[in-house]
Amino acid sequence: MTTPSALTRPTGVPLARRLVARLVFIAAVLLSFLPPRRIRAVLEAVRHGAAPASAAQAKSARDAMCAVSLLCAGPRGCLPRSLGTALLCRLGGTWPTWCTGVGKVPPFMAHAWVEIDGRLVGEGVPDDYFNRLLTVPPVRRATR
Amino acid sequence: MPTSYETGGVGPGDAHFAVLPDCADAVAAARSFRRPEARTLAHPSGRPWLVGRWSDQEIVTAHAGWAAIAVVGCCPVGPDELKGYASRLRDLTELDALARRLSGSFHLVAALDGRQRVQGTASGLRLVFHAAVDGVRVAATSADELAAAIGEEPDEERLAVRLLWPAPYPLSETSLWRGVTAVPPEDALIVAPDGRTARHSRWWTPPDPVRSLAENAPLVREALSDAVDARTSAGGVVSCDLSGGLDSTSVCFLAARSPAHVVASTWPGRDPADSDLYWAQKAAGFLPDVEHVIWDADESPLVYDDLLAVDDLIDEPTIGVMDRSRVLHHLPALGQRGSRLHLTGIGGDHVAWCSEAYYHRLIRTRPLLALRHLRGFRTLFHWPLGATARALADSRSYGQWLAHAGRQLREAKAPPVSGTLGWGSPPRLFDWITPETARIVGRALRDAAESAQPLHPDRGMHADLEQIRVCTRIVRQWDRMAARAGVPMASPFFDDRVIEACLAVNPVERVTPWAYKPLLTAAMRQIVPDVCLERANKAQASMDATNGLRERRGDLMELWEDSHLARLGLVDGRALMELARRPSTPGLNEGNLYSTIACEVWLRSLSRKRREVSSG
Repeated sequence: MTTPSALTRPTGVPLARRLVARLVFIAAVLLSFLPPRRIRAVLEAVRHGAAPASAAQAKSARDAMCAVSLLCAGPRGCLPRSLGTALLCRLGGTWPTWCTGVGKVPPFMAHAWVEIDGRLVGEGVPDDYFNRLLTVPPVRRATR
Repeated sequence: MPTSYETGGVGPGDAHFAVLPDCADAVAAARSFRRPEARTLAHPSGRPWLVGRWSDQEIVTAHAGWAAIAVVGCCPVGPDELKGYASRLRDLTELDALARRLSGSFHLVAALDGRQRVQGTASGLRLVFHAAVDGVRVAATSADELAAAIGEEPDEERLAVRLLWPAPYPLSETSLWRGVTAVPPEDALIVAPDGRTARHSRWWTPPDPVRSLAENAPLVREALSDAVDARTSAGGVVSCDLSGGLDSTSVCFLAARSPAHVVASTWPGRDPADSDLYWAQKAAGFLPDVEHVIWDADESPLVYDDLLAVDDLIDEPTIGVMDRSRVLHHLPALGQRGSRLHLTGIGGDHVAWCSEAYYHRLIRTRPLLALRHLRGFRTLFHWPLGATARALADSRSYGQWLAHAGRQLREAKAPPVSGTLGWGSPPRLFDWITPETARIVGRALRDAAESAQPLHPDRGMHADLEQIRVCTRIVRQWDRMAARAGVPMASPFFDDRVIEACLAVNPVERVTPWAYKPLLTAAMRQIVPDVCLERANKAQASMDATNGLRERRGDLMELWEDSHLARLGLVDGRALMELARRPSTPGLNEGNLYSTIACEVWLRSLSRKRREVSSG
């Protein structure tokens, strides 16, 4: 198992984006209280019309969330952080793959994150660190 | 000139010796230390001065008139330079300054006009003990040699104290024998010309933690580079741990700059997705000239492996036996690759991560800033608000804290935050410790509390120093075992100069929830690539410990079946057997068994050694 040893508070996030991120954070927290299948239904509804996010876009959204909320920056904030990251991407017209899963070996550890093409964004662990249980990828349109 | 004669082949890395005063009675006392393989270094009078084991690479000596200096261990000082110091020596206290200047890790022994001075390192990695042997004050680098010389058995009360988890300072540092006195690492032993009167004289004080991180990062870089250079500048093949963590990665990159050929050794966790390997490979990618060896995780020993076979413990019980097999496992294979020395990253946590207990003072001196950081720590470590506030409000002296701990030995474990922000984790005795033992230990704690002074008035500095000293006591035993296994180990982070450079930095910048080991990261910029400095998490071998307990329960049963501790009446052997049968009992995986196992294994190894001596 790997444990976090520091909180990453990204700097340099513009004020306007921080304000938006704060609003998104509230939505993300509210959303995080829903049962998993509801969360999934909501995310599946909002992702429509969004283009697949790039790794840089997802990272920038994740940074904005961690910059405005200590909860998101902390080790127990993975659910609001990942939800906020996805929603903030959506406001910019893109969508990452939102995932939940569990660590591959004991002790039991549930986690939520976003990834792009199977590569975890900003988690600092290998891409195969978790077994994926629930994923909400972007809708791939026939023509891109 | 001193004469040094060798009567047996001695590998480097295992220097240990006794120091005798220059008087007629000392000649008789020296006999107790003359083993077949022992070497002797003589006083100018021809009487024995140092008696013990060391290799030519780990000793530098100099004589000038009535002054003599010996540096034993790892130190880049040359014989001519040392001779210069010896010829200028007018008073033994002048060595304080010399000891604070030299890099490396070594014992410093000096004689002047019949007076003796012996000291180890401030880190506690090299210790000094003394005892009256045949009426003469003899110093030695390990307590067991002195105990054997005076024919004393370990003291049961002192052994009982070591059953505490954890054993608090200063009780953790007393020798296990009444007749053997331990010299605190910050003190030097001074023996008067009569060879009988001895006193301790302080040579080291921790730095004031007031320097800024930016100001001191270059000094940390220099100190750590010097520490690694001291071990690698002679060239040859050296091996380094490359765990993927920041500490060993730093040592590896520093060693790679040396003339030595470096073999980097990665031992992935059993956890198949452990991110250590990922980071280790990332680092190895930047080191094309370094040979990277990755061991098979499943072949590595588990925690608790081979406890019944331990036969190389020195002078005190150590929880290092739990990991002994893991630490030594890969050394023979590195030896086959030519490694003459193995560098570890041990100590990086202790000098670069450090204790949050500094915030106990900071909340009083810089409340706003402290609150902002404490809020981060709470998020990071899940400290409950109430317990955090109580720990911060607690203003007991160290003695009061210790006395209180002595009355609470059987209580449930305190919340971790109370130990983190306080003087330390309150020690506990577990159910299998007999009531009589608990009474003895409680009394010992309360007695110690009456005069106990912390290592530093600031709880944070006290905690940092205590943690360094707790760890070096383990490493010192591992170092001895490693030398025996064929490849000596060295831990550059525990050099006194590195410790001083790190602890001099203001804790506000050094201990923060917002960055992982910021001081080390800053010091290693341009040496370690930025992408390797980004890691902000840490692997835990929790799974190895849990599995070890389950898979080695047979060994544990055997340990308790014929328990020396039970025979002494210190523990309830039946209760321990019962626990070994149920390794998944909640709470067993938190180290509760460690101190008990450590004491049991030590007693066994002691009696085995005694049998060997009496039969041989």
